[in-house]
Amino acid sequence: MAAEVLTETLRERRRSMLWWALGITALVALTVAFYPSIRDDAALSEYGKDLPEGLRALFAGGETDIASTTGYLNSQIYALMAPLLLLVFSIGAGAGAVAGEEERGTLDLLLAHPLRRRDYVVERVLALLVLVVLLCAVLLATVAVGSLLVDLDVGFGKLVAATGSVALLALLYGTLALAVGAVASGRGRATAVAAGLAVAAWVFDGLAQTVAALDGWRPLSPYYHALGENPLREGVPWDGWAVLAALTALLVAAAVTGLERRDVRQ
Amino acid sequence: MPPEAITTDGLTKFYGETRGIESLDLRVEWGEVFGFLGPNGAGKTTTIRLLLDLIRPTRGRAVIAGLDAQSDSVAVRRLSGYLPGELKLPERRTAAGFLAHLARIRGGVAPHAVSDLAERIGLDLTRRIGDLSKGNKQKVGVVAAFMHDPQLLILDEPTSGLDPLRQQDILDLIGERAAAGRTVFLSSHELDQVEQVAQRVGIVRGGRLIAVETIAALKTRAVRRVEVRLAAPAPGLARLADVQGVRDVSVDGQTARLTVEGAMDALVKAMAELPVQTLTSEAPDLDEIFLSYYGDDGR
Repeated sequence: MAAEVLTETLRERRRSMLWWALGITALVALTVAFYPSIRDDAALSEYGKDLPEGLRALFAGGETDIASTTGYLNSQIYALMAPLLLLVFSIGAGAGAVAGEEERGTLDLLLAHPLRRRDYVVERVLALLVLVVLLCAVLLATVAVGSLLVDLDVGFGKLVAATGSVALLALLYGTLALAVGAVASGRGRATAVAAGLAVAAWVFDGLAQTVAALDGWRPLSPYYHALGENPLREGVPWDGWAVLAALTALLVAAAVTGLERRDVRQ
Repeated sequence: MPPEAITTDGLTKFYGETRGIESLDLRVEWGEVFGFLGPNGAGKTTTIRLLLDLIRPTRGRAVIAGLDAQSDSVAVRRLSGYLPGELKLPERRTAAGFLAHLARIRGGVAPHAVSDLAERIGLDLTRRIGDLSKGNKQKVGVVAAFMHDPQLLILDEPTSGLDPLRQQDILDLIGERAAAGRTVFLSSHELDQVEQVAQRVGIVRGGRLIAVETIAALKTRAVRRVEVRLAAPAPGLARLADVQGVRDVSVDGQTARLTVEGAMDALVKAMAELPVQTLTSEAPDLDEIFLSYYGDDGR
């Protein structure tokens, strides 16, 4: 039964993945296509500077010159749009993996088969990883091709760094949703907890950049570890990636333990 | 092979304060069809889900084929086939696709096992599960439970929601596997559903096992309500009260309502001289059987 749960999940997701890929491609391509008209607009290049610092941190990735190549890609795609899309996808898929199957009643029959609960959880996490990586590859390819066409090149390595950060962030919160659903049933609760904590981390990181007293506390936010150091300019934040990967691994362990210990609802 | 297919020792499950099943001591022999009989909410499904390690006991343990239901649960589930009481299936998959998925989780099943079973019970494998009727969905569950020809079949109300013809198909299938030496643990809330195939039944009520009986013994206890309507008035109608096994007779003109315990033979012979227009008999009521065992304390 080599990875049967993993392959079945990918099979079930085929159609919805196509729509997600199309949506991400369209949104990113449209954003990139606007770059030439914005680059030549002097007023817009000043616009970032006029934004209050807090808003700039939250909505523009802290960029002051949004008409520069890095500033544009970061503020328009990587600081908010890409993480938002990927998190929505990942949290939805993570909450569906255990809590969703349980609510639909399909987990009961599946776990009455010779299948370890541990293996079920691990394979669903691996499926989530594959799906997030696939969508991020679509994101990366669209940005890479688009930025070459409109002279928005920041270097492929930097794009890989930023996209990788988005992928790890999405995977972390997707795994969180999966783990909440594995520890205690309820798809709604799993989604709410993961989405709530993701928004809190994003707001906290924005606040911490403007409130001096919070500055030292930025590492509390996973958002900081992924995108706080602007990977589009600085390259791969290895320490941040290590933190995100370690947190994800902890959540997988919690999900396995949680589901192993509890009753499966009918 | 260990001596018993299923053994439970003081198996108990509470959901918070609510009793699912309490202190269940059960022995099911290899090769027998054991009916697990009780009204809805008696603890049948709780017991079955404990056997499969879907839920964990508050106290006690279950041993299946010598394997601990909890610590050896994967091995237990490998040798069993399970039909849930409330079957839920992925709506977007075809029956064939989903059954192939379950077969792969089992490491494969005999070639043609799925198609042979489907043909046997009249299931179109090519259709999307979401487009199937309730009865046809139930058939998908039946194929999933039977396709690997398991040593032990654990079936939770397998005939519920099916029309009588389909019910008979499933009962025939169970009888066939039993004849081939398989062990079947079958829950139901209707005696009529299990008496055809089972040799013994355990009766549960309110989370407790109150009796284990052979079907033959239980039938002598079975109480049926009977209504006799005559074509013309006859004085003999009231005398039916004197027939052995008959009680609670109430006569209303040409109609008599009564209850019969055990065999109907004496009653039928006593009616031979009456001008009977119609004779209606209801399926035995489980509650009546419980009462015959325990009086009103059974409630």
